[in-house]
Amino acid sequence: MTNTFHKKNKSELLLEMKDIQIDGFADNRWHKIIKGMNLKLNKGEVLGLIGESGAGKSTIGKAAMGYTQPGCKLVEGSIIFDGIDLVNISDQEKRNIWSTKIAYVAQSAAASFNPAHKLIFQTIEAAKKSKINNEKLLIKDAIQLYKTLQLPDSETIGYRYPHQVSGGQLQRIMTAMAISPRPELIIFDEPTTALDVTTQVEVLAAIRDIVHEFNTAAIYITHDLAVVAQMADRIKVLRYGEEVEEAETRSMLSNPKEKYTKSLWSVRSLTKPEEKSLDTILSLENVDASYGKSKVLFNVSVNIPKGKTVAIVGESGSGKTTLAKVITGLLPQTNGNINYNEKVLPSRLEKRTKEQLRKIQMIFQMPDTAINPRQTVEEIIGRPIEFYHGLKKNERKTKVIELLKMIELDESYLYRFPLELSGGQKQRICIARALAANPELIICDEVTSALDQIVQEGILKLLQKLQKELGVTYIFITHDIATVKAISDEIVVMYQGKVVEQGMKSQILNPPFPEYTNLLLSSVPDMDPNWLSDLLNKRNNLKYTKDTN
Amino acid sequence: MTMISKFQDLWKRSNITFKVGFIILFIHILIAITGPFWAPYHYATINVGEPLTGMSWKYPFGVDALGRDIFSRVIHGSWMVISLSILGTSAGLLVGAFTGLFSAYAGGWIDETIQRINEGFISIPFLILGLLIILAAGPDLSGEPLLMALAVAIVYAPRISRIARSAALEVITKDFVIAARLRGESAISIIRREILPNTYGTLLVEFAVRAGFAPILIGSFGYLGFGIRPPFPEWGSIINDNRMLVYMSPITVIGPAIALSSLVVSLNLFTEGLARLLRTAKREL
Repeated sequence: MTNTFHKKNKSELLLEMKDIQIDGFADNRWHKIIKGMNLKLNKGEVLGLIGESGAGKSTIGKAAMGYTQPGCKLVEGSIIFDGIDLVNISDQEKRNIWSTKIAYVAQSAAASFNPAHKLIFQTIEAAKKSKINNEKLLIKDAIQLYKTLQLPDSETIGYRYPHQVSGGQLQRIMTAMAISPRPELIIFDEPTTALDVTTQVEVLAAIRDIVHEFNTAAIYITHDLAVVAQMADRIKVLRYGEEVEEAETRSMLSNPKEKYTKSLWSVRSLTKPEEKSLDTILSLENVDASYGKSKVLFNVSVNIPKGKTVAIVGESGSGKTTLAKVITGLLPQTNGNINYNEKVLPSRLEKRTKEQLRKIQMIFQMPDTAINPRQTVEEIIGRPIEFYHGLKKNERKTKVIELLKMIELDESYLYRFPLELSGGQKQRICIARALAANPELIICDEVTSALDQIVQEGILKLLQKLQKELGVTYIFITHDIATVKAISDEIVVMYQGKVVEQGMKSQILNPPFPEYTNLLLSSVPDMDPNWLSDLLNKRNNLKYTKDTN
Repeated sequence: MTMISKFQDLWKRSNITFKVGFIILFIHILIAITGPFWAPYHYATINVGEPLTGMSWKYPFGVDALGRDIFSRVIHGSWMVISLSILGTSAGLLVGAFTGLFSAYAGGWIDETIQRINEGFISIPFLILGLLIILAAGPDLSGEPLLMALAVAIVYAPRISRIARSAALEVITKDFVIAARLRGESAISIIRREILPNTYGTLLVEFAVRAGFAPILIGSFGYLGFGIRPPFPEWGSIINDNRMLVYMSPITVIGPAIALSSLVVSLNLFTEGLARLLRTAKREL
């Protein structure tokens, strides 16, 4: 599939936003969220909006519909959609336009469906209300759309309730819902962020095909450059409510002009030469684990080399986090052994000694919930120091300051509450809390997935630096292959509660691959705008050869 | 920030509900503390005026059948009503919060047992449970002020316990509690350091709501004749004493009733305002 056929009709202007200024209300006053932005979109064109969280991507996306969230207001600017001035029309007229001409696909499809109604009736609701067609024909059309979006059982899937289908399927059904009234513009607000890489590919392909097929214009909002590279004709980079730069996708990727845009690439440029270690610090032997009656880990055996980083990869539901719970003792294994420094570790948390607990520390995925919002930074980091090493008052404080320096913060943070810290700073505090115990092994559970790209890079660099200085071992749980490439020595691939393979980074990331590893690795988007088309071609050919055989 | 400037800041950001509630409550507390020193008569002095003469400048709430000045009696009773309400509610909060948080943290059969006991208590209506407690204490203890506080505490504890438990359940799933468990902290330490501070807001509002209703409960005991031993002027018993006079001299009932209802209303307004303030400024307290 090439980009040639959707070049028709490209010159006709569909949406024009001029000097948009939007204020948001917080802390008893109005703040500028969008500071004078211009945006133009032609018919049938896809514009990608990227930037980190808080850049104003979603706000501008919603403003394109003439809508501002509660607590926000449009202060200045004009929004002309298809010749209609969206700023100065009544709410009723806006609603008419929204149901027929502009559609919106939200990030969390699961939260956007009414759980009490069957999917197909929600899919056709807008089209039915605006009397585009009668119900029978619309249902027929919806089923056709499901087919185009490659949903399984497309004839019957619509008659299920939202909780009866998976997240990826729900996201595709939401796309069908947006397409159903045949709008001229669809706004996709991070539609694949909540999905696994393997599912993301399917949704991306489906969205792209359908946008092309109906020649719909789209605004695609995401923080992932590789994703936007597959989807957009043009890319606009935002930061702090202002435009950084805008260019055609290919020229943006090959030749970014601004420093900020270049820095968005940076995580992917991080690399680490792999090193082999012969000493084993932790080993799992034939471990089984289950939640109640449902078994989630099957005969898992893993070796963790001392002083190195082992990445555990797999999609959600593959048992990565469960494995972490078993190692920490939160979920005692039902079978098998965990050996730490060649001694068997008690399976239950309560049975382990303080010393055993001290040596294994954990850093969590969500820094927001991992630290107590009612404690100051000093209390948070100070507690393990007091608890394990018995240091009090001034001694404790000196040690906390020492740790703060280690994580590249200073004394001024001592008395701050988590509320006064950014996401990246909170994660640094979590790292300091883990280090305070003076551990030998740190389990990092998706520690960067809740953070922005630039912040991610900072955290990963910090972890690498600390490993060099302190010689700690990391178990790094993640679904992001770019992160794995950046920091690991060894890789364990998991699928459905089983270990698919374990080996050195170079060995796992280079062919020949087992089938699942191949699927996982090939699903990670590349910066190359042709990546998705190439991948789909490859997979189709594979299917074809399989079928003919 | 000093206490005063902190209060000024709070006042500036507060809403009208909070302000009105606070002012009336402040007057009540002022009267409760200073009242016994400037009340015109002692509460038990009889024949200070002509019975049933109604309202006058000298006897704002009238005079009862024994010739006692009702205004003085209401003022003398004030500190007792307020302090018993607060004492009873505090005791209830202490027990309720502890059992609730512990129940939530322990989980399993401990949680089940504590909750079933709580439900047993809650299934008995407020007043009946209170009266049962007073009756169970026997004739020697009935009429003791502290027994009233105890009754209030026992009535409230299971209800507060449930609220504390549900607030704690929300916190317990958070990663920082798991982090504390992984550290090897004891249950008491986790409850005190990690869980309790995160339920302060809920517990504070719960305390204020309960304290706002406590004067009615204590007044009801008095009205039904189970209150503090006479001649102490507990408000409920003043209303009960003058119940028969309501047609001849209505102010003798309306006066103490106004005192009681204005206290309850002010506590409720204060609470409501406080809850709204807390929602906006969680960090201040």
